[in-house]
Amino acid sequence: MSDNQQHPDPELLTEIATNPAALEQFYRRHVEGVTRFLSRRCRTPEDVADAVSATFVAVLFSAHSFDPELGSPMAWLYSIARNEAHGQGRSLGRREALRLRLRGSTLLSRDDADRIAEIIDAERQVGELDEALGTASTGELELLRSMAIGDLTVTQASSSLGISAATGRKRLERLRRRVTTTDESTICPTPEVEQ
Amino acid sequence: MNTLTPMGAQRSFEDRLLDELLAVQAKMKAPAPPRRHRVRVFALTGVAAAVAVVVLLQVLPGSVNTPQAASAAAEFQKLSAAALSTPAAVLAPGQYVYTEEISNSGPPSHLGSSAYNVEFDVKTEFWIAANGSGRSIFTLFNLTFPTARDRAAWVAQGSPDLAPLISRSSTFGPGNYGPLKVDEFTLPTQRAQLSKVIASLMARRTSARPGTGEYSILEFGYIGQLLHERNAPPKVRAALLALAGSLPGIVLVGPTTAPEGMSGVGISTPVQHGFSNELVFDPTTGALVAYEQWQTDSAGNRSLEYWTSYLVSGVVNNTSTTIPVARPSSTTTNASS
Repeated sequence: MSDNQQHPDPELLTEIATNPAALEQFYRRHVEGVTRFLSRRCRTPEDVADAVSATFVAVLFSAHSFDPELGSPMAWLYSIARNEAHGQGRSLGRREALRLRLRGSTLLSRDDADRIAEIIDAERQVGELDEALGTASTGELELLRSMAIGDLTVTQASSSLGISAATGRKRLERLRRRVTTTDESTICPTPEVEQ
Repeated sequence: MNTLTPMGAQRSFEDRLLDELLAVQAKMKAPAPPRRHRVRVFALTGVAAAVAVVVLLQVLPGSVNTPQAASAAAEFQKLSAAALSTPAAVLAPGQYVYTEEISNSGPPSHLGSSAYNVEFDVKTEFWIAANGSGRSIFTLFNLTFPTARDRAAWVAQGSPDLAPLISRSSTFGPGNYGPLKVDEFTLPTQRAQLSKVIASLMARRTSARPGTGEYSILEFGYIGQLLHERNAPPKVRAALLALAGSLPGIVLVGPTTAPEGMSGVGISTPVQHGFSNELVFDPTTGALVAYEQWQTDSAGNRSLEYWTSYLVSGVVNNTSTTIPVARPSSTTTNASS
């Protein structure tokens, strides 16, 4: 396997336990997505870091069991990440990470922690927005689309839709209220309370 | 394409984690050199010394860990019957099942981002209430430096306290105990139903196909994890042991002694990718007393890489009470054969 050539995930997984290039390519391809995924499920940067490291440790130890006929590598990877988010220190990745003395949180610099804290905040807002938009009315979505795509103010967007500015503001306010009252519960590390 | 967003001139967490993962991968690839028996003698006198000699003889190459002709399935049936004959643990409100286990840290390697190698053991204590909630404590101990150079590097870095990197105390809610998030107290006791539950647990974690050798090895591991709860109802433990006995390819190792002097009968998976997992049971109760992961190199030499010894388990009245461990000997061994 060439270091420069890009290979599909199933191919990388067959070699990931023994080939450094395969591990690096798979890791770099997915670490950002996994970090964001776990940032929606963890409360602190340290929890995210521990879950990310445990996820990739679990990938290393269980890649041989991946079967492409039973699902995509992404689904497999994120099911591992989900398990590690729920992990209680005894899931595969966390147990092996403990044995290997690999705790992601010990690798965090202050800058890393700040950056991941920002990701946690951003992902939480995205989750809230997704949930709120899922309940938005057609009128509310039209208004939002006009504002976003046309870079318009509420008044301008309302005018373009043939509604009064007051109606537009009401629609926007309803949407804002739903966004701010949506509370996405975190998962990781719900079962654990550090003492 | 590298999709990792550049994080600036300083190496990021993601880069450092990749370095760690590559180091883990290198260790997975390289077969461990045959290791000398490491014996920690605390106080050997008289009878204790004689017991230690017996333990050492049991871990010498060739004397144990050699597959025997007898059937692992038959041994599991005996263990299952033994489990059924043990009294069930009853938890009153406010009571907990306390378990204590000790694991090694595996081959020497560096801790976190340190530049020196260490070895250590971890004591794990669990207190589990009837509803599955509880408390856990991980404690690092027996920290050693494999070489003088490692110790010198540690001293050069200011002799940092390494215990906090591993040691921690946590609480957890119902249904969040154990590697599989399963309440062992409520598992079915019918083999078919139990097998179905385990299959559903495995489906979440592996894509190995039922009926393959790999699936059986994984299922053996899952059953071992569930048997870790030694105070689960005897019928559940008996059913788990009977199910383990039905798995193809499992090998009876025979009488063996695990680290911390935990002796019993060993049953192992076949070697796959250079590794095999062995469970050690108390033949009188069917209780799991140890887990061992062995590595076999291309010349057939085996070395014990990782182990966990389950020292004690019983009912206590709060999450501060522990149960004294009555070790069968004062010797800790880390064997290779």
